[in-house]
Amino acid sequence: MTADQVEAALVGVLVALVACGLAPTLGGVYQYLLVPVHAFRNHLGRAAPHLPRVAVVVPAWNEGAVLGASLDRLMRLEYPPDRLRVVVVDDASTDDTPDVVRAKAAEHPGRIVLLRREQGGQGKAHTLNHGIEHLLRDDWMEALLIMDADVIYRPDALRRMTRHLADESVGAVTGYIREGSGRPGAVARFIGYEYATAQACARRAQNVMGAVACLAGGAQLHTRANLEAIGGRIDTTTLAEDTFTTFLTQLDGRRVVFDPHAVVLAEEPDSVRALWKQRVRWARGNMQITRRFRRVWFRPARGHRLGAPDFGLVWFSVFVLPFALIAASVGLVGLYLLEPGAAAALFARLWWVALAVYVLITVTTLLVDLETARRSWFEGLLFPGVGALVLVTASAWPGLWEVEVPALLGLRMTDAGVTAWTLLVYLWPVLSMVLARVVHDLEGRPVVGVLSRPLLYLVGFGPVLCAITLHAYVREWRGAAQTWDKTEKTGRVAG
Amino acid sequence: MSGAEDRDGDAPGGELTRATRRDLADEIARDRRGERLRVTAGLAGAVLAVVVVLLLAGVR
Repeated sequence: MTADQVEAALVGVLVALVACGLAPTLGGVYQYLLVPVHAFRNHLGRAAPHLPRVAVVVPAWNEGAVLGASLDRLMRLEYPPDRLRVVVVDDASTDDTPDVVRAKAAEHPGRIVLLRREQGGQGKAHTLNHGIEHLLRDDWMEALLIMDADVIYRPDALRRMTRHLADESVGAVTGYIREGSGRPGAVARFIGYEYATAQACARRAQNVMGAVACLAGGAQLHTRANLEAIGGRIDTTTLAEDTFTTFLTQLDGRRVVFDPHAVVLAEEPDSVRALWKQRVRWARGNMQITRRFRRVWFRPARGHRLGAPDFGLVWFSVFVLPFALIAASVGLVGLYLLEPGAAAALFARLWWVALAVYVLITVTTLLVDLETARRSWFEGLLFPGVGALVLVTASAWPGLWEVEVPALLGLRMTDAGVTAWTLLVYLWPVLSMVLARVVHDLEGRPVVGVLSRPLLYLVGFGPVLCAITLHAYVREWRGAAQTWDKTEKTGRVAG
Repeated sequence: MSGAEDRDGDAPGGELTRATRRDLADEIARDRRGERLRVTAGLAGAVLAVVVVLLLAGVR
């Protein structure tokens, strides 16, 4: 093999790496193209008036600050009171959680029950199972609603979920968890927009596909038949017990439905540190699910659509995103070192892809959930980060940042400066993930801590999530201890 | 469905009253219409936005 052939092969590999970097975009675009189809292909056509006897199980560990409001809202649900019971499972709280529940139980005799686990700290699934075991002892319960202690149900949310259970092929229903803090900070607003993409849009697309990735942990309604069919308990071996239950339900031949009109408000982390802790747990859980159901992926089967190629594409698009960003950067930098002209040409051709995808996703998301758009439109626009938007302009208008902008200031960039700038642009996908960790580390520190917010907007929320996911994969790969790190809630939800 | 109807939502034997059933059916019909409007708006906005991008590409 001649040196030219080796170089040509290497160029081919590097171009393939850049293409790999774009691959997850396909999953995102595919989902967003399905969103409008939901207007005509949704489960509302098979929904019917149906108000089964619903037992609500609320796992609680030190939730004294938020639980009272949640229980009050549950008691005010527009749902027949004789068909709704609430069981709060106190996971050996050390605050006033039991007192709060006892007071509410006294206000609503027979409708709120307190169960207490003396040995706590084993995680949410164990706590839920304690309540489910209690509820399955008699025949009263026809459906089970699993929720979190801090979420606030809109008055009509539960009945908008139960109507789907009129269709006997449905095993479980989930609602739309919307970030609902009264005065959200930057991180909470980013999460608000993220939930609009990941739930209001992506779950609609999954309804169309006929396979739902996850019943939201704060709003999952199961039929009793489904609960019993999946073993009458929640899996305790993974960190993603809600996703595990979702998969079991569908593998057992029952449908899972998302109802975007059943809105549930939740308080989400408002600091990058709290977000990091929460999402590391989620991403590790997803990695465990990916491994546990390895025989499901890309294997179409009768009875469920989890093995359909399109669902696999969507699932793995998210799963491999951090590696895709790294591949794109390595490919571009490698090409730049070997064939600078080829790197520039490839980069210039990519801009319209990136811009079109960005516009498609942002506009659709903001229009699908106008309430979130009012709160989080700025974070929606800057979700990929200012850095990524600069990168798109650099790709669309070659020379803009190296020549034209400096010329406006009467400056001229040296050749070394142009090289450094080019490498910075090509490396940005990786660099943004590194900087995401810097945002995490700066946050809360004296003096330099003020830099964390501007840096967050520069880096973008997407890269922060990718960095967290990568960190989670490393922890999982190293076999780090599987602990249930509770996200602190303060009762900021304004329902 | 109003709060009063909640409390009176059941006929003897656990069946839904005709009024409750009608309210719930109306709500389903409203949500179906709302779904069509909302998602079609999303599609229209996205198509417009992509057209803008293509126009930009053309004049670049």
